[in-house]
Amino acid sequence: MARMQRLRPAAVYALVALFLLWTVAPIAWIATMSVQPEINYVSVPPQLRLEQTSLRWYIATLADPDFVAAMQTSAVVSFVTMLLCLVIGALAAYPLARLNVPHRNLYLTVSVVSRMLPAMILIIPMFLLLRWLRLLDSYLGLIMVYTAFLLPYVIWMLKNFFEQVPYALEAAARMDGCSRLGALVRVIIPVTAPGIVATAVFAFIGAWNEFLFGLILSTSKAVPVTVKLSSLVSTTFHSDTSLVAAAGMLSLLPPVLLVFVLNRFIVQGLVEGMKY
Amino acid sequence: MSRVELRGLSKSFGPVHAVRNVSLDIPDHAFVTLLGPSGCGKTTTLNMTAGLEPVTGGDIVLDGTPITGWAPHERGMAMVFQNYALYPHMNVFDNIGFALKLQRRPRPEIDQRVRATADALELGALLGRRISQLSGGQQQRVALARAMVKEPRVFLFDEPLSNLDAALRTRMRIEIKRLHQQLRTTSIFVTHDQEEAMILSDFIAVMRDGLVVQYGPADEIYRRPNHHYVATFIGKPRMGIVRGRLRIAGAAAEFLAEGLELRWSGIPLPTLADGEYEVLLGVRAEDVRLSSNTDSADDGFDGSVELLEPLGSDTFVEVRRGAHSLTARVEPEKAPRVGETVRLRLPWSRLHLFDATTEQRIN
Repeated sequence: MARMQRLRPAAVYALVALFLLWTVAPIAWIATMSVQPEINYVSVPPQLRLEQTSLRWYIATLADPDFVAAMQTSAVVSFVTMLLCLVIGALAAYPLARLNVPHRNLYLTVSVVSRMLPAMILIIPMFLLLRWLRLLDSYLGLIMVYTAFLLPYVIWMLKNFFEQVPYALEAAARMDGCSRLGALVRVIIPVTAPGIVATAVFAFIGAWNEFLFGLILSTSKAVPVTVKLSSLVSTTFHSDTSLVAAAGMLSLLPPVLLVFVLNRFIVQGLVEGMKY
Repeated sequence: MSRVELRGLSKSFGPVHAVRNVSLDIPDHAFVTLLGPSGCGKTTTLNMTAGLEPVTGGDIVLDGTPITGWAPHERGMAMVFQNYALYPHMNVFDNIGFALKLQRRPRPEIDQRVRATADALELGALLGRRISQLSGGQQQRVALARAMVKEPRVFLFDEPLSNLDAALRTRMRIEIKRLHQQLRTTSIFVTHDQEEAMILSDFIAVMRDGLVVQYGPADEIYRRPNHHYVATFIGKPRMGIVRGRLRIAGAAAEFLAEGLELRWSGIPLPTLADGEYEVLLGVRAEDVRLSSNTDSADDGFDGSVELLEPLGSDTFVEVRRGAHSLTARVEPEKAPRVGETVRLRLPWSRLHLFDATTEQRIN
């Protein structure tokens, strides 16, 4: 028995290590690529020459105004999308979770159906819509499209978090003098903060990683970083892979930073559940 | 002055009628309990009174002013919830002071009132604690403090003790009773625990299927239940019931049930008109007289002792005769032995008679 108990954590750690290796290895590989000349890692077997380690590809990438503009586009678009998703999502999820909305399940189902269609099918109507609104190649156009596509997920996630809040907690807030909206803002949202933060990160990453709509709906003024990255690979006559790797690493930075800052909340929201 | 009148209150959720035509007049200073099993509509009635649940029909009147459509916080009521419903993201001080803060009271006033209330409930040392750091009993007291600090016109309690363990429940029950004696604030208390209702209440409304079956002073509910349901719901042990035929002729009465024959003479007139009645005859354990089987009084029957429940102060004796079983309360030293044959006497003045069909009281 005692031996089993000693073995069990060991097995768990081994599995965790394996999983980490599985997820982290590609990132470690690209991180290595971003500081080594191409010849080192395309040779067979690949070689790591520490004396040739350099940050010059990072410097080159950051010197590219198009890349910096793309980072800025993605940051602004993703951040605003995240905020819009949270505000609209919370206002939609709360009644769906709490009020006696007629046809509630219909709303919920329809909102998911839109996500069942492949994006390729929707891209043409989206393009025509944005052209009609004169929002092609603009921050606002991308924000609107991303928000529309992420909202169903956000509403579902928030609805589940809100449903976990005991009804009495909201009743108490209303007895104490809150309106329904006041109870949402002053009690339900603070209480579900870990869940809301997790949802926010989800929305941000969803917007940040979007590629297809960015590719079709933007041409020059509002190109997201994902599209810019792909163009680094395809348009450069002979693309310097280290340059692409460095750009890739840089594009990882904002979501990683966000997760890092909000980590405390996310772990609480996803693992611990909430305490009332 | 805080008199609450519920006038023909009803609530439907689609086809389900949760509350049907409930009318209660709750006098100033009274402690009133809505008592009934789960799903009887008592919490819905309370929520409608609080303004948390819109009414389908009827009126709520506070001191002569109809408040039916008012928002919860406009009614001057405070509520204590079953699961405390404390704000987990605030500390004890902020929980208690939340309502005052929303009323935009000046900071020093909030401070003074929160501290005074907390001290009254022995929470003074815990004001900086988070809710998750408190025990169940402490949380319950914070919930009480949060209600008290508002100095409400009416207290509403939604089964506030049902989450506590037995010992704590007994203590908090006393604390609520003492609080009511001090503050004399009109209170409406919801529970399914008849003992809790008896101990706390001036008046009890017994509910079933969305209807108030009986509303009256607590001792009257116990002494003169007007319905078979009330009779068996209130009181521990449960009131003994025997179904049978009652014949009345002047001052004489005769009760016949399967294998059972009881007679009384010289009953006070007029209890019931002469004639025959199908009845449920009810008698409480403390009203059943236990005597030896040598006694041959007509208002009794012999039976064998089936079970003893010694409580220390009293012993309950369960006696069986054929299909019928009744319980008698005796002093511990007078308890018979299991298997012994004893005579149970049912004094006429202590009987509760209910119509067998309508289950309404007839005597």
